[in-house]
Amino acid sequence: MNYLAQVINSTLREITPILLVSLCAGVCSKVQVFNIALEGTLLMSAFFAFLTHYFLRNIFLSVAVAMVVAMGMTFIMSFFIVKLKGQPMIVGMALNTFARGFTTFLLSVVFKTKGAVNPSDLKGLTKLDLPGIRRIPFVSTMFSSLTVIDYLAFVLAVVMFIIMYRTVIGFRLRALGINQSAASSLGINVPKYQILATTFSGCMIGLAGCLLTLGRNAMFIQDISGARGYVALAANNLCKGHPLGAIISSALFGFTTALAQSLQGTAIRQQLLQCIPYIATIAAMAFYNAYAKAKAKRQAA
Amino acid sequence: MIFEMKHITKTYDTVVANDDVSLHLNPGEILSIVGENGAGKSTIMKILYGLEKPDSGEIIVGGAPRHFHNPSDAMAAGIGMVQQHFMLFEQMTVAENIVFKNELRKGLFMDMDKAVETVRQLSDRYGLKIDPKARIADCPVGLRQRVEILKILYQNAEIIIFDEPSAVLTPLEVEALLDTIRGLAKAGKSIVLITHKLQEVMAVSDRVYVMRQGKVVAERMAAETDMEELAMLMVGHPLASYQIDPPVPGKTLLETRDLCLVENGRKVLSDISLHVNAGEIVGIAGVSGNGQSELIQCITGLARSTGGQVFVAGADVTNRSVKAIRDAGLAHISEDRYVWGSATDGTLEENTLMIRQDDAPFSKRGIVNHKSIRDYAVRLIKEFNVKASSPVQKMRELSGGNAQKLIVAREMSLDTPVLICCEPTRGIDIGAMEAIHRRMLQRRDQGSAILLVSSELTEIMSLSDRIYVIFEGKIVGEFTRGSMDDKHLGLLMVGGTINHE
Repeated sequence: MNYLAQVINSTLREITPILLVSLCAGVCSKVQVFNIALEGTLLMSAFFAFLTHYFLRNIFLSVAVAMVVAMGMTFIMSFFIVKLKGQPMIVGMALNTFARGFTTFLLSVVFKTKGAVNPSDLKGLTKLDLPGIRRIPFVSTMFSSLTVIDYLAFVLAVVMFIIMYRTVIGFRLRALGINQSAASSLGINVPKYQILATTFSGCMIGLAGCLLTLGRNAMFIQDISGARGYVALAANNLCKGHPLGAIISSALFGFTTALAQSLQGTAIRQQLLQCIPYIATIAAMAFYNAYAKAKAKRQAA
Repeated sequence: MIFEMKHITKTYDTVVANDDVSLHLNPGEILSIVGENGAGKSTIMKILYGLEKPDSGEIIVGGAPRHFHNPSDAMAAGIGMVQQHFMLFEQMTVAENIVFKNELRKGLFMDMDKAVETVRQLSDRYGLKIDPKARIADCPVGLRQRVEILKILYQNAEIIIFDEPSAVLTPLEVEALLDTIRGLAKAGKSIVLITHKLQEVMAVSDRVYVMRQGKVVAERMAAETDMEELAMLMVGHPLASYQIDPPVPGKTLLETRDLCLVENGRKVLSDISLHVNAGEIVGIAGVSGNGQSELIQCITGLARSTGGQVFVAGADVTNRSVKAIRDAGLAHISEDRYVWGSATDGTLEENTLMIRQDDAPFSKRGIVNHKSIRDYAVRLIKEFNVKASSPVQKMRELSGGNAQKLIVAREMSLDTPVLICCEPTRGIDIGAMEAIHRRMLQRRDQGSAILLVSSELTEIMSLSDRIYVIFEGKIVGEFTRGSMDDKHLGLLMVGGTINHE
């Protein structure tokens, strides 16, 4: 029983970074900017959150820096794609490669290491202990050691839903994503909307980055993002950019990642376990597409 | 006078699109501007709508001179334009499309209920029936155009410009559109109609400008002119009527036997049996969407039929590959010149080569011979009078009519026994149309079998030796030249039956 609660707890903690990144991916896909730089953005913001915290020992400032770095990366991405008409795939992969090299470089310059930095005296984000559930045995394990940002991720999903589907600005963003020339024919400055929307949504990746390096203990490991950016891209694909759907699709990927972790130390090979989230990604995409096709067929008939 | 344009001149590079054009519009009037493609009628309206800037000249709207930098400026001055290509958000509702940019708000939020109500009122007021909550993706073309019109009315436009509004519509939708235009004028709006369809001009206009080569060459009151005069003014010389000799019956070159197509459980084609003989043009008349496209796709190998047979020059080619069917002796001028007919990013040279890439002298053992390809392209461009600056320019740079001429040139020069022409003159001007028609008749006289599909009834009526009428995937009638008038044909096309009394 307690084991199950622990699995749920680690699932929750796996969900939130993916959810935050896929919320940003959702905005990008709604305004038709193909953002594959999520991975690099996540890595950069995770690194700078850690770096700021290491030197300044200020958790608020660290979160702010991570958000600014993420927004900067996203701005560069969208500026190159929207304004300079760069190939999204090339721009994105260039940023990812840059992020990987740059963080590894700084890691070796600042910390004189190539692997992990795990200073024992550095605390991570404050854990939120909800007073109401502290004494309930199962539930308290389920929600133990979650940070404010973990809870915020779910709140942000709802907020993003309201912004995208209820407000005027969200309506315009969705509309211009559907047909850019129609929007500009009515006097909308499409590139401006695209760049601003993607840049602002980038701050959510910054929050995800904080969770990676400051979520439990403060630490940084080379490539700490661990393909979560790509997984979030897949999660966003699955929910078609819908913020509430992103909760479900990130939950699917969070669960498989947690499952892989909890099976470590069993007879199953480590390498096979590491495949689980990615196999789940492919399987989920395939199932979803088959389902959508069948649905379309039924509607036609 | 609600607007006036004085001495407008506009040049692109070396081409003079508008040469000292002056025109005006009176309140509540329906004004038509007619002319061939490239005559400058679209350019002058783009200038009025702020999409283009004139080199010189003056625009006066509501008594004051104006300079429009973009469509929003024009819109603010009460000018709206229904573009040829609709600018709509497919996955959104009618109401959402109409209020975009001028949303009804509750603070930061959308007020959708009010938007739906406003659209409903607007639609009642102008008699443009529409469901504000319907998704655009589910609306047929005619309704989409109605949304475009409502969009303009929502923004309180007093002047509405229609750019070739009937090009994409079915005959019934055209009727509805003409009614709408009349209704709008009655409600006090002033209308400018840009078109080259003279029937429509005569049906609704009060006054007509004729443009040719960038100039206004004539101004007529609609009541004081007729289609012959307008056509003559447009092309600059009298139109010759076609001299069509009675057909010399030859053997059957194209035949379908009980051709069927079932798509997603729906019968799209039911037992289509038809034949086309050598030296004969056979037309298929029907309201678009009644299976014409699918029929041609099944014949040409673009779709697999689910029953029946197709014979080309005696050989059974049912469900063979496109290449095998073409090799059996068939050429195909396809329905959509950009989707099926050409590679828009390819050069003219590449587009004329298509289909013949494996033939000598164009290639030998997989190596292409550029010189022979160039010579061939240059020859076709010249022979078919395609207005192009160079054989290596991109297909997309040609105007619609010239792109079509190039495709016609390519397909006709294959010299196959069977030629399929789908909408061969859709959206192109009278001059190019006449040239294509002449080529078709020439091929007929040389003994080819030609199958013609067109949504223009006049085209079918004037060229075909025999006509099949198609309705809901079935052949509902067959007629020979002269045994039928367009009223009866029209009736059959919409599923009516002929009353023999």
